[in-house]
Amino acid sequence: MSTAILIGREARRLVRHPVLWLVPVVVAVTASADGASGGRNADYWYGTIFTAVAFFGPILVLFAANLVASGARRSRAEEMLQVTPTSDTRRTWAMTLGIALPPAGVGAVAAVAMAIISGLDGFPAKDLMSAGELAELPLVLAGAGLLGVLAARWLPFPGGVLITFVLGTLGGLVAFRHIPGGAWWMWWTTGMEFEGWTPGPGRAWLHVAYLTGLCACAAIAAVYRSQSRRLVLVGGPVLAATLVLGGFQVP
Amino acid sequence: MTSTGALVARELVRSGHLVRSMRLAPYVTSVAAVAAYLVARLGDTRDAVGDLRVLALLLALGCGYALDDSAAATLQASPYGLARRLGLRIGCAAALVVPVWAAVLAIYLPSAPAADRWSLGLGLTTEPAAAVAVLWAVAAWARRQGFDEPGIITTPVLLASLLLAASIPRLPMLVGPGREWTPAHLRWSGIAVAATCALVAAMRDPAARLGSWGPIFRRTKS
Repeated sequence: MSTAILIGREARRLVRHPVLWLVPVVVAVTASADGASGGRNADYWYGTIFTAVAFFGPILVLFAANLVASGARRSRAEEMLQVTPTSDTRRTWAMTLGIALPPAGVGAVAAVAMAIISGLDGFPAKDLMSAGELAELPLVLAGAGLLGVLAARWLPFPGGVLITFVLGTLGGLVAFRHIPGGAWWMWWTTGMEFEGWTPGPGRAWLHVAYLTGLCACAAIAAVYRSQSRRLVLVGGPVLAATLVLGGFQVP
Repeated sequence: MTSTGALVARELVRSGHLVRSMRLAPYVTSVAAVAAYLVARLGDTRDAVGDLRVLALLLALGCGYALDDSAAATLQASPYGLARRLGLRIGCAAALVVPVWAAVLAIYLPSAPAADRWSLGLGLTTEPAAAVAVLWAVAAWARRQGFDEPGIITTPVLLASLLLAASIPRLPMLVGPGREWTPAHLRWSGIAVAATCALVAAMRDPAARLGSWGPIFRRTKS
C-alpha cells in the first residue's frame, strides 16, 4: 500500500478524532466568557487566534495524537498488523507524517490569518509578532502531535501521555526558567510572554530551525523505537544538529 | 509473613520476575526527569524547599503506576494473597524510589542551616510519603473495583491533591520553614496515616470479607 495512502488515512483519523474537535469548542467558550474590555477588535482576535494555536491547540493535539497512535495497541491489533507486508517502520513513518501534517497546516493557516489581521488599520505595533515568530506556530502544533506519537511508542501503557504532559508542563514552567535563555530552548513559541516570563532576545528564524530539528528528533525516536542502531545512527546527528541550532538561536 | 510466603517472595525477587512484572517506564521517566531538573538547576540550592517539592512530585508521578498489573485477572485465583502481591509491588517501588530521594536530600540539605536540617528533611519526606500513600490507596481501591491498570487514575489524583493542598488558606499545607511548618506537617502525617489505613483495607482479599464479617451480621439479623 502506498505510503501516501497510509499518511492520508492516519491524517483523516486524527482530523476526525473527537478530542481534536474540543479545540474550537474550548476557544468558543473562552472567547464568549471573555469580557473583552478593549472590545473585540483586531488586537483581540489576533490574541485569540494565538492563544488557540499556541496554548489550547498543542494540549489537545497531544492527547488526540496519542490516542490515534496508540489505537492499534489499545484495540490489541498490533499482532495482526505485524504480519502485513507493510513494515512497522513504514507504518510508523506514515503515522508520524499523518499526525504532524494536519496540525502544521492549521498552524500555517492561523499564522497567515494573524499576518492579515496585523495588516489592518489601527493594529497596535507593540503586539505585532515578526514573520519568524509566526513561522514557529505550525511547528509548535506539529511538535505536539509528534510528542503524542512519541509517548505512544515509548510509554505504551495507559497514562503514558499523562506523564508526558505533566513533565512537559513542569519542564516549561519550572525547569526552563532557571536556564539562561530557557524560553528559547523550549518546545514553545517565543512571540509572547507567558506567566510574567519574557523570552528575552533571540533569533526567531533559528528557533524555527530548532523546532524543526526537535520535530525531526521526535519522529526519528518514534519510528526507530525498536531499532537501537538506526536510532543512534540517524537520530544522533539530527539531535546534534538540533542542539547546535539551539545554541546559535540565543545570542 | 509465613515461611511459604517468604519463600515465594524470595523466589519472585531472585528470579527477577517481580521487577519484570512491574511497569518500569514511569520510574525511569521520573528518575530521568529528576536528573534533568538537577542538571538544569546547575547546583543552585538556594530554594531547597521549592526544588525538593518539585523533585518529590516527579518521583510520586512514577510511583503511582506501581500497582498496575496486566496479569491481575490471571493471578486472582492464585493462593498467594492480594495483600502479599500488592505488598511486594509496593516494596519494590519503595526500593527504587527511596535511594533516589535520599540522594536528592543529600544534595540539598547541606545548604540548609544545621539546626533546621532534620526538620526540613523529615518534613519534606513526609509530604511525598503522604502523597504516595494516597496514590497507592486510590490505586488499590481501583484494583478492587476491577481496574487492573489503575495508574492512569493516579496522575490526575496527584495533580488534584496538589491543587487542593495549595488552595485551602485556613489549612496551609505547602509552607516554608517557620511558625506554620510543624502544624502543616502534622496534617501531612495525618494524611499519610489515613491513606495507609485505606491502603491496608484495600489490600484485604475480597473473598475474605464474607468470612470475617458474616457471623456478626448473622447475629445482628437474628
